[in-house]
Amino acid sequence: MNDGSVPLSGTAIAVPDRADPVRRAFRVPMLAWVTSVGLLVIAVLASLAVGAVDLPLGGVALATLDALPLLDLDTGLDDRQLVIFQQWRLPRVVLAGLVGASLSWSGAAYQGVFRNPLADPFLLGVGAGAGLGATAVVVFGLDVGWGPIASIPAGAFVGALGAASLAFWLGRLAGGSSAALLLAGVASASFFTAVQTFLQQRNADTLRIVYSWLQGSLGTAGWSEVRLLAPYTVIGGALVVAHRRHLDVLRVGEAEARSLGADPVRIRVTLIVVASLLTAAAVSVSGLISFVGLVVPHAIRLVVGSSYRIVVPLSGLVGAAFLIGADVVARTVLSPAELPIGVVTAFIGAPFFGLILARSRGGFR
Amino acid sequence: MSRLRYTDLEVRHGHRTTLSVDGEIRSGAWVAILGPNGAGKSTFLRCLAGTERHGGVVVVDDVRQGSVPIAEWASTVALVPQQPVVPEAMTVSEYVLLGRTAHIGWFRAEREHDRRRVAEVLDDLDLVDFAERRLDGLSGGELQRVTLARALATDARVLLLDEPTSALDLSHQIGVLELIDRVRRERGLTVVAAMHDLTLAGRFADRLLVLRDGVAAASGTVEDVLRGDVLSSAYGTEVVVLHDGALGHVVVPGAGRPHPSPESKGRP
Repeated sequence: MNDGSVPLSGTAIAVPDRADPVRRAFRVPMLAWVTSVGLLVIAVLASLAVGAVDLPLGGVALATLDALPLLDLDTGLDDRQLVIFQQWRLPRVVLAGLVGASLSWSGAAYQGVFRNPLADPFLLGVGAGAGLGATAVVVFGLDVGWGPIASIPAGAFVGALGAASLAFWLGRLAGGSSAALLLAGVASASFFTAVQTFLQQRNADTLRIVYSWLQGSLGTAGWSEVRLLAPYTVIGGALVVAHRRHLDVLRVGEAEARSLGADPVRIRVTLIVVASLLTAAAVSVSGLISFVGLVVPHAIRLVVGSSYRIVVPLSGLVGAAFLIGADVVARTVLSPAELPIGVVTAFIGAPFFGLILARSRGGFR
Repeated sequence: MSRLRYTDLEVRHGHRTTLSVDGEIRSGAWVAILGPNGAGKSTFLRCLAGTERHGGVVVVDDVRQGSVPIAEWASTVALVPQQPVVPEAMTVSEYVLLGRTAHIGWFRAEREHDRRRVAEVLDDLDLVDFAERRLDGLSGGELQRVTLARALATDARVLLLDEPTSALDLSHQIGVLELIDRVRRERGLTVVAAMHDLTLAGRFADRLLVLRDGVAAASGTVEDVLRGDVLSSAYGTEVVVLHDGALGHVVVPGAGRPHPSPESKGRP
């Protein structure tokens, strides 16, 4: 209804359109979308250009477009630069983006399903399980690799799923409520951590390898890791995004969700399985990167509001941008040495989040 | 039209039967469910809504609960719970949009039509100015209207209300009940409402059902049920019913003894 009422007499009182506040309430937050895409583009270009060998920014931008199908551009990069770009920089950027998006989507899904703002991707013991899997591979020198997949990621993936399955099974035995699942996750995580610590203590010679994996690193990133993770991120991310409206429905509790026409059990089971798979796949190639899955959805919530209809899609973009940016810092601060990326995400992420939290003035609930 | 039938409706907890009722509610009626605390009023409404496990059959027209998808039942029967869960940071528009859940496909986003229904319902209940407000900033009366708006956004033909006025002061009680009565008549809705205040129930409902210990202790028209002897035995306490030209049946509990509550019935 855009028939703007024209004041007839001299009184210049505009009659407000009755539908206006509703339309405003549902408008797409374009600024947030543009900012998120902008952050991602900046992070990608910076990450491609900066490193032990700096590449020209313009050439990097052209080479990125050139890497897309159907485009064939003259990038201006020499052969050595092209090799660095194609074999090192590009897979690393893509992998960082996939890991960041996976962890953020997983965190948003867990927070919604458990209606708990403290929920993060490692909630059901996925991190502890991955840690045990990776440690077992290193300590026992297991060769559980499969095709192009190295042994450590394979072991971590199996361990992560094992821990999550244990938590899920225990939680279902205990009635399947959110509280039961959370407690089962705590139990599962403690057990897997205990076994992992035991193994590590008994084999101090491999401590360094295990430790550096636990801290998170994209140092070994290549196209084979990208191929391993990409299907999970794409399919899992699509499923979480598809359920964004249902996460809003769950906010009124299971009984009301059912009376509104959503099946809370089906939503919960689907999203827990999807989020656990997303996390397991991500940590298996990157190690335990903390803070991303917890903080990225909250940061978005504090800026654009609490509806998952917006929080979920933006989480993927911002999570990718955040992790790509953190990787740039991890590679450059102590160059040529690398910081563990988990240290960087927490070091940048915590103060940044504290700032948003302080500015929210009670907007955080 | 939407005739609601419930046959052999039964809820058991262990060996104890907490609800056992049979009946039919004609289309467009306002039926008030009365009875003392713990009589099974809320359980009855939850059974009709499909959120409580029960034996027996609930049918609206030819839509049978349990043999249609959850979403189809939710767009036939809407429940306004007594104490709805209030997600604090959610806005009124987002909350009312939840009422459209049953109409939006699994992997779909809401469409222009859904947003328009939300706008219409908010306009209808005089809530447009609240569209962008957060739920945790609303008063009890505003929140009651917002939950009603969510139920109306489902486009259900049967509206279940669990003590719709329990959180409200006297003037807001009348306001909310008049609002429900207006939308009922405008949309031809069937209203089933658990009510605490017998006088208000007599004023707004056209049929009454009194539950006691999960079974029907009395049912019928206002004249049949709002009688001292019927209510005294159903509630297990002495009840007197006065007749007032303007107010209709005025139900006074514990008459004969001095009544300590200072609340006055009506203004001079």
